[in-house]
Amino acid sequence: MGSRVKEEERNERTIRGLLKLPGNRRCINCNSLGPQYVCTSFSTFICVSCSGIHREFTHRVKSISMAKFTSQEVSALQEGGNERGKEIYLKHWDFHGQSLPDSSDVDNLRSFIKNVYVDRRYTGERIGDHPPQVKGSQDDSYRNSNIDSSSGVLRSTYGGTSEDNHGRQNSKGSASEDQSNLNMHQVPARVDQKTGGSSENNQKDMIKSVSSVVEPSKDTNRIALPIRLPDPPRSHKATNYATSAEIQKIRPPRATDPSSKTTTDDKLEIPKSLIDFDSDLEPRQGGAQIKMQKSSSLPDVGWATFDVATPKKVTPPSISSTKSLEGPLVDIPNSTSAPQNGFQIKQNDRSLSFPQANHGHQNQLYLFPADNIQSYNSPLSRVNSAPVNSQLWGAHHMHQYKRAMLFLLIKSQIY
Amino acid sequence: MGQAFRKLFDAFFGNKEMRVVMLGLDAAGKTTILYKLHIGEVLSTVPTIGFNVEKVQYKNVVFTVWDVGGQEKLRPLWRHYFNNTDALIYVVDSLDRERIGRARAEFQAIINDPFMLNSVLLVFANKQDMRGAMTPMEVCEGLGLYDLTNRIWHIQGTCALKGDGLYEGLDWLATTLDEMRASGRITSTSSS
Repeated sequence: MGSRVKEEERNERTIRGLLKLPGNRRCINCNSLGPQYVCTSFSTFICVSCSGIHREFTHRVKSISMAKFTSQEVSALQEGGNERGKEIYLKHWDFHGQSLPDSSDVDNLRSFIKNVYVDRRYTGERIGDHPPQVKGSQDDSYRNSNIDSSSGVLRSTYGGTSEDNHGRQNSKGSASEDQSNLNMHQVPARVDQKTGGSSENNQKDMIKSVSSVVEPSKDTNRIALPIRLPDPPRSHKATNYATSAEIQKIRPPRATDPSSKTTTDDKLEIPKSLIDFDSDLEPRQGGAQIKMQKSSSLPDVGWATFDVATPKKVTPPSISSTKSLEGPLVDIPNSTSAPQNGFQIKQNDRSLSFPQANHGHQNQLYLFPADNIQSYNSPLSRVNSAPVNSQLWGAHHMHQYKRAMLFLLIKSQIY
Repeated sequence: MGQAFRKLFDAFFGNKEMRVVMLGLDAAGKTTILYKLHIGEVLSTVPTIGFNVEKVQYKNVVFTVWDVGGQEKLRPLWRHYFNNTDALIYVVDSLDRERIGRARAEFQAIINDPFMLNSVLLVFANKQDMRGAMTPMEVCEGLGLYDLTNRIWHIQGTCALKGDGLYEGLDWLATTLDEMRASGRITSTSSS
């Protein structure tokens, strides 16, 4: 214990010593004086603004004062530092012609850091080589949602695990699979019936499939991604909603496994009242929705080939490949389920993000009317599962109403 | 007298208050979550030294959320925020597989603190939008949530940038708080 404290002290002293080197006196990115942070991903000394932006790219940053450094990190810093960093990452940067971004200009800094460390434009390497530190890239489909202490069983995680496990199944199969998962989390008994006991296996596979998935999209990063994407042709909300409603009505009630059969039945219920949908058409929500759709069409770029393999022809190519990124093809259940068109699949992709529909997620509401109805019927649904917006709206008005009432009450007390 | 009426009125219709402390390792996304909840925007944040505190209203509950910096030397200060805390929001960077063990150690230290024994636990498995992120189930195992007994907990996959999952988490907190107060259980422990 004592030796560890001593080591930490020594490490901090070493780093403070390194800060005095001429190259390390200024932030490598914005040239501001006295950097107080270290980017351990690149062993550079940076200022506080740059540290915030490096974090956005999942680079690891540490405060010199508030973090503890390991001996490896210290020796990496001794070998690295800003001088060395400039030799590597800014090798082809023209220090006379080009000026470094100002620390107050966050947008400029962000694009600079992206160019330098993510795209590595000035290293002289081939573009496309990427730092190992950039661990993840954007992935629009959530693996699942939540678990809690009240139920011993994993209620809704199956939305995710089965996705990982079954991986790159054809979109048609996965679509109904996901729907049944959505239902399953509300009826725990059915979870056991279908996937019971297999969760351990799922997890093992999951790790494999996750790592295999990371490869193709390594060069993407979370900030820049949506920008690169072409606009999806179907960002109009009204059409979207109408189509989804229609599809769900006309979808034939035939399915192979019992759980997806119940899904289909639920789908045939009367659509929910329009009030909730209206509340979802607020501009803010709309913006978010469009943005998410953009990014969810992302994986199309590299995986278009999978469309050829899918038996379904009605789907526009850009849609069905979204699912195929999820992992290797392990299992194809439900492959004989009813044909659907592109919108249906898109919805299911979306819905996967939030199996817990009964918590009233805004984005899901209009895409998934039938599921919502079901969540109101389900025994596990909460009493207060109205959509967020209408609740906030309600709360606001309630508040005003309350105040008026209170005022009256107090008045009646006085007189 | 008017005050008494107000109290009675608030008891039925009023806003309930809930004190929440949001903790987690550095760069988990705590500050981003706080401001996403507070103003609905993704701010460009810098590593928090000290804390941020904001009130977030969701439904009829006013959450006072304390977001405390998570770097190593700030972690010993966490316990000063435990007094009178109804709930812990523990934010985990789902992408950070290397430090999930560290996250677990800190988590266990928090929840075993005498002041936190009664608080409810909400875990945000953040950064679910990133490819290669741990699923909430993996985070759940990584933190040792399954081994907890006599604790009320919930794990929620989130993406702070889009706001996904955040309100679901608050919803759970609000509902759980309601249930607990209705059944007369105390969620916070105070030193006085």
